[in-house]
Amino acid sequence: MVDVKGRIFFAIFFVAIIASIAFTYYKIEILQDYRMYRSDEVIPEPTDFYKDLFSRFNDVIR
Amino acid sequence: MPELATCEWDSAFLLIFSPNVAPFIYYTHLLPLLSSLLIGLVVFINNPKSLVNRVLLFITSMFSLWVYFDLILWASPSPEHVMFFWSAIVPIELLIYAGCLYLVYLFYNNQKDISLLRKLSIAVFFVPIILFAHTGYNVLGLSPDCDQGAIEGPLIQYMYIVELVFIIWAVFILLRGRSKIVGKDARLVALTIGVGTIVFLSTFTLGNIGLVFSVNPDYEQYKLFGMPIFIAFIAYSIVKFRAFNAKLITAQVLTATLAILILATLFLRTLENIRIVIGFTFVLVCIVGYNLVKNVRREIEQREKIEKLAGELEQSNRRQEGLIHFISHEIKGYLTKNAAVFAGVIDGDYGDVGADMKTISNAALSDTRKGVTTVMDILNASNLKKGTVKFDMKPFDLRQTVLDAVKNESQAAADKGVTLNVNAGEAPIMIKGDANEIGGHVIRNLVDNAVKYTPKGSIDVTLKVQNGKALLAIKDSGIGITDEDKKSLFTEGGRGRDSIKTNVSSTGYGLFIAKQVVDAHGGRVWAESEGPGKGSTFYIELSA
Repeated sequence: MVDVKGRIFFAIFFVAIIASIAFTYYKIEILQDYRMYRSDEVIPEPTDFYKDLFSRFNDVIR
Repeated sequence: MPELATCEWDSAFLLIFSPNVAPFIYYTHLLPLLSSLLIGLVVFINNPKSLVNRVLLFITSMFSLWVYFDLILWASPSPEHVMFFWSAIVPIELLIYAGCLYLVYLFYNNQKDISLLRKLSIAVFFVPIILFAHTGYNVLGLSPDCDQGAIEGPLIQYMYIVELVFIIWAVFILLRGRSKIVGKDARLVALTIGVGTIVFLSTFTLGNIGLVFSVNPDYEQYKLFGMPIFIAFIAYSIVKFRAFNAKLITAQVLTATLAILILATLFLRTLENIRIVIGFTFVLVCIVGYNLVKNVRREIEQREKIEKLAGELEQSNRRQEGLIHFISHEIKGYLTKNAAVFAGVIDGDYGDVGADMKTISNAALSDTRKGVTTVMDILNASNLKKGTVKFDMKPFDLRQTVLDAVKNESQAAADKGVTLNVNAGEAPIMIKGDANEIGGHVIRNLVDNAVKYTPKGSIDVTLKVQNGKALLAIKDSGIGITDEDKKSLFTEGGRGRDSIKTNVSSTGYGLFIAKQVVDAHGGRVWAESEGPGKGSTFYIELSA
């Protein structure tokens, strides 16, 4: 069985996950705060973020 | 406020049922959803207190939730729903992987919970997801193209990487954790669950990889078939090893699930050409499933019957042991009192008695002492069996113990006209053990037996050190032992078929006690004989 420490851990862990999903729901479904791209816009690739992150990192190193 | 979606889709019933969604999608989604939920619930209801059963229910629930969210993404025309469920599916998906890793850990930890540190090391991967699930890092936004839905952000790429890490982690546990598992069956169960979990997660991840590299969007659908494979592995472990403490009902449900999975494909409009093949497969699964359930039922019934009988037998044995111990103890008390009375009569404690009375008292005293010896043998055997005898292990001279035992029996041997020879060398032979038990219950017993079972001739007692061990041999020219009697010689109450003719007072406990004592000393006792009438030799080997 899960001991007391484990139960506390699971409680915190799942509260954090549920809170995160609840906040996402609030932001998107209630506030409707999300981006909708237009047909004429260039849609970014998900890896652009990493390219940008690493280029900045390279700049710092240089 | 974002622009409204321009997709001209019909609204979806219960968010998932829409005419815009192809039946193929429902087949690939609803069946794994229902089957996983079913198996998770059945296993959980079977034993709700078991941690592994709870974790399996968690995995199947998260998987079902994931599938439901995914169906919403296919069916829902609402941009908010697409954005939200696309974002929310990320932590749910990683929870499936974490749950699976936890399950593998539990099976490789003898089904005991893992340490807090290990739990934290899994949970730490969730931190970026918990923090950024609601942001544009998770889902960048909605695509203007209705068919594409949302545009995935870097957090989803991160999730794919973590999924790969979790799979490699599970493989690592499989390769390294085997030695920690106690029991062969437990090792096989852990291996089955481990491999099934890895196959399930790998199938899921392969679907994601197909999506990332845009190989073919349809490939993503196949990732859900990892669940029926996972269920098949669970089914095997339940049927074969009774994993998850599940019984027959689970095997029935599993077979029914597989049959439903196959039957459902018949209703797909797009699969006209292979309906015959699927129909044939369905019939085959039904036949195999029926036999499987029948065999499992028979096996479980037999096993339960045997377990019940074994339990009853053990209880009955214990009660009988207790009763024998009690009766023997009581009888010993009465016999001892009787012996004291007869001894008193012989010694004249109750005044002068006639010669006849003395003769009768002598015979009665002798019989009473035999009775005490018999009861003591039964009591000793009972105590040795129960493990309540404590041996006083100290170094002692085995040679002297042998000489004392032979000296005690020399009068009895002389009375029968049997020659009792002893050759124990000159030097002391020191061994570690309980001198009283070895001398009283082993050596005295064997020499006494040799005298009793040798009507005429000689007995040779030899003690020597051989290969670092003390070896005592008691060779007689007595009645010998048949091959059949050899088998029951050292068993409880075991007597030779003809031995009763030579030794009427034999209890059949002497050699059993001797063996128990020698075994407790880490030694060995055995007998050799060329057959009836050819004498016998008893050997005792003890560490010197």
